[in-house]
Amino acid sequence: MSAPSISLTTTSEKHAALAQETRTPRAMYWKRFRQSPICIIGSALLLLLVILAIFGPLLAPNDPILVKTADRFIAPGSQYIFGTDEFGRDIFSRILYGARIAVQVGLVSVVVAFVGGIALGLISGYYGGWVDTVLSRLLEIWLSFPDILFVIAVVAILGPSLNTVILALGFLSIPAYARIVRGSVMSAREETYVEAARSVGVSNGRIMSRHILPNVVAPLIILSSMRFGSALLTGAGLSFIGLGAQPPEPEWGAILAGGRIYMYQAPWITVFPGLAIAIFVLGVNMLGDGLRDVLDPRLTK
Amino acid sequence: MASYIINRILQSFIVLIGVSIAVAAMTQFVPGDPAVAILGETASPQAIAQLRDEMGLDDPFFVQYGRFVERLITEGSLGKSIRTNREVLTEITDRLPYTLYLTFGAVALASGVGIASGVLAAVRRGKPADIAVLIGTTAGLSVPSFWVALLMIWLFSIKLGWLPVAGAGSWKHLVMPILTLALPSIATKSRLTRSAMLESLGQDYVRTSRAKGLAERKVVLVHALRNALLPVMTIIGLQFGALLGGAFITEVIFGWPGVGQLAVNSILQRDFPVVQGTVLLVTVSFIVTNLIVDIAYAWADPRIRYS
Repeated sequence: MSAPSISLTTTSEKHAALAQETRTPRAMYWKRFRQSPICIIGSALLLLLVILAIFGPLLAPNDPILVKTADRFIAPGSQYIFGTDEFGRDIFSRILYGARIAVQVGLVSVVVAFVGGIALGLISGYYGGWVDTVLSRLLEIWLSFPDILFVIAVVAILGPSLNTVILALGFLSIPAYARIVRGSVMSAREETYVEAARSVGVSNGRIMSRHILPNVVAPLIILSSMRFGSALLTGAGLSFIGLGAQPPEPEWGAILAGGRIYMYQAPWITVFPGLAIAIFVLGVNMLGDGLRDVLDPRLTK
Repeated sequence: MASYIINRILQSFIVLIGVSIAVAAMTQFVPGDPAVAILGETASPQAIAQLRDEMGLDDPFFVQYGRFVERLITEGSLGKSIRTNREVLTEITDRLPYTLYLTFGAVALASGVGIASGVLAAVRRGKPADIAVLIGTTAGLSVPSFWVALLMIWLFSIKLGWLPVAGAGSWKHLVMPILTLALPSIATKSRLTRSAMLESLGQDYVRTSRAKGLAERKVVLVHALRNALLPVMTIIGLQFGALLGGAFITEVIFGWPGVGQLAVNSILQRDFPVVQGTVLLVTVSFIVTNLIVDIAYAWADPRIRYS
């Protein structure tokens, strides 16, 4: 491109292009995201968690499970930065390995809920009629179990394990996703653009994925970040009381539980994993709050 | 109003039936043979077959469900605990009062502190008090309450010796469990009250009361708060049920002899009838609480009935 041709595009054209650019929803959201401190802090913490989950095992100075009886109950210091537990295991290494489990709990449960909820919501909203009535009643029954109780019931059936808890946490959130999707499918179904797509012979599946689903992306992102945080908390809580991760797995709630009886002599076993849960759940929650402000300005107070 | 209530009761009734089917069906999904679970791996095949027959495990699910309902209605029985051989219902009702102490205590504390801090934050919007409440509620929703419980035990029981570590018996035993249980719900209530208050403070009737020279205190506490409390009321109802179920972790930490601890122990010891009974009972109370809240809401806010 030669210089004169650039000068030929008038300033007004440039302004129009610029205005267009900032007016696209994506650019607008991105701008608001960058300007929101809670979004930045929240996503930084989430990013840190993901980095720890991927590289934690490489960064960990010690084996998280190996028993070293000579090194029992060493206080935090130069040798072990977060101290050791009753088996002489390095708490810092255990927490680093635990990051991977934490991400697994949050991510897998959200994906399960996401996929299940979208499927049920799309079917219910798109087909309507008796399919919708049956599914809606089913979801209502599903939702009528108090949250923890639902997870507890699934654990009771399948037996205590981390995978059971993850699955249960995912299933727990399916109705929340399904409701959002169903509601917006119902309203989108009547839109002219969907009718237009249908009249030119676009298939049902394609209409759902290309014309209806994009409408629900924002509320689903917000919901997912909230559920990610609560899955971390509930998962750790259930592991803490012995219904989730089993020893010697370095799950944060399980580490806390192990340190409980040694609180008098070795409080560091309980302090650090709790701090890890608190910091990263805080990060995810901040991101959730921030995203809600960014994506749904109507809710901003 | 009457038709709304009848409608709502019918709806809850259908959900109740669905819940009871779901709970009864839990047995169907348990891997392994319940008869083996009761008699142990070493039992003879004859004994197992006989017990399966007695328990009706070979019948189709709906026959089993029918029996479950019939026994519940005619005998008021949810079956017997495998571990203690006592009625599941007595096992639960023995412990229910303890869980209710915690739940009522936590609801009262969370409502008081949550609503007060929410109103404060709304009135001082953008000021340091609002930011302090925001930080507090964010922390309340992020910090694991079981961790706070342990830190409290460390401080109040181990270091200061003020409160007992675990068990039940005096008011002192209640302090830490109630605080633990109330912590996250203080945060939710505070946030909800804040946003409801901000909304009602922006309404015309609030401006009118200000314009006619009403004291600001009265405007906030009488006119704005009264309307802001409606959505908060729904959340209190929802949380009451959630707390009933959510007392699990708290009860285990503090060795509190409530329903939650019973359920967790029963899961760990594979005492399935007790787990089923707990799930059913807590869920039913959750549904009934929500029904009551909805009716109260419709009574307080006529717009609900007609929508």
